Amino acid sequence: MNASTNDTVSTEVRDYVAGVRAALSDLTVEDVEEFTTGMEADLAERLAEQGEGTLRDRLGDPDAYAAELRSAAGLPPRVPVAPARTSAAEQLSTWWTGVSRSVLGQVPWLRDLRPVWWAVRGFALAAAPALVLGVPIIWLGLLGAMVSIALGLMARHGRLSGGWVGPVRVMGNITAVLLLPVALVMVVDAPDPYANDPTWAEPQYSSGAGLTYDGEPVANVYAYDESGRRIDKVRLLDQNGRPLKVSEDALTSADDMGDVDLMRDSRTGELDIARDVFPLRWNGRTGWERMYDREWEPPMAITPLPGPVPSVEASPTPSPSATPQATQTSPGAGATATPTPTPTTSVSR
Amino acid sequence: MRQEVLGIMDATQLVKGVLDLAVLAVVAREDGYGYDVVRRLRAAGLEDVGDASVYGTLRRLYSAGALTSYVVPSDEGPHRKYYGINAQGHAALASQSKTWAAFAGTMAGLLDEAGVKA
Repeated sequence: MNASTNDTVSTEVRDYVAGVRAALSDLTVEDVEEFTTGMEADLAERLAEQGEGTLRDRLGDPDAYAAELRSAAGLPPRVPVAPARTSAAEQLSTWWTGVSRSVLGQVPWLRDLRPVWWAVRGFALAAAPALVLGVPIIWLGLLGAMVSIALGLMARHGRLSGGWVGPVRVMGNITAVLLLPVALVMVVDAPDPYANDPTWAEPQYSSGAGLTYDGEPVANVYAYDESGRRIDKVRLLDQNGRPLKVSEDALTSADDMGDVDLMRDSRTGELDIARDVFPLRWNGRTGWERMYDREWEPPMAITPLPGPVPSVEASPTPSPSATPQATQTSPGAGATATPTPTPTTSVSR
Repeated sequence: MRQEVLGIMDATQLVKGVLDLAVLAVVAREDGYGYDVVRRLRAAGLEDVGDASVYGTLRRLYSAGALTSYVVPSDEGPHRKYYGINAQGHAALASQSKTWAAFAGTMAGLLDEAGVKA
């Protein structure tokens, strides 16, 4: 006989009887009692025999069982209940039962794959927390699969009881089916473990290093004085006394011919160019040439600033034939005033 | 006892038609509880009979007065409901057997005429 003594009627049986009772709830109390007295014992005995599946597997759902019971007993089929009594969850449960029964009816061997479904549904259901938490699905998925298999085994051996088991199972199955594509996408699109590894990061522009203007790196500076003349080999200091310096990156990116890179010191790798003496020059350049891919060329002179122009003595290069009469009104003509040769008029003979 | 109308001619329908008779026969032999009757029917060869159908039939026969029923309490577990046959049941059994025999004979005759061996 039954091995268990205290829990002689397993919870699965009680669960089933409760289901049948519910399906017969429109009958009188005596009728229901007539049917269900002894049902527990009979079902328990049925279950104790040949072990191939749960009571539901062997006998069908309690609803179907109750319907067969009524029809054999000559009682009318269940009066359709008022809509208010069938909650959405119950209707969903009924629909799912119908669908699964028809599917299993056509492909009966699917029943044997039930444990596989347990694992799959557990994995799929883990997609929801994985999405919310933003973690990879693989570990939650495995955990979910194990929990689901455990629950399935528990249900099969009758350790799960209570009215909540049925609806939760149905909702879980439906949710798992809906989440399955999501879970598959998450498995395929698993985040790249190297995404944030700095070793693999591409070198970035050191933004802000070196001289910039309006956020853009400056590669060269050309200076002109108030007369509009070029100033060569100029050094500029900021308000803190720091020499304005062009960054190596700005310089190398302005040079698309690779000349700048030739100026690297083979030992230290540093550019052997004075980056704070403007205009920058290297490799035989004067500094006043056009920068490589640009159309703009530094002019010989630019517009002088308004106002009186200082005397020529201020010019750094002394003029060999500077006449004392170099007046202040003469507009600066670029470089030192070249001595104008006294025109010799030759009378033609 | 009302006669069942035979529908589609397959074994399940046939069994349904004569389930009353089969159940009466089993219980007449010896009192039994629900699942016991099911088992005996199956052992006799009616393998496709559904549990719920048998229970329902027992209930109906009881309501019709052909069977008695009593509950046997059990220390180990839930109570069992036993069914037994009474005089009216015996009478029904006898009369239905005759009907069945007659019917089987008619069928055999028909099949014979059609040249089919039963």
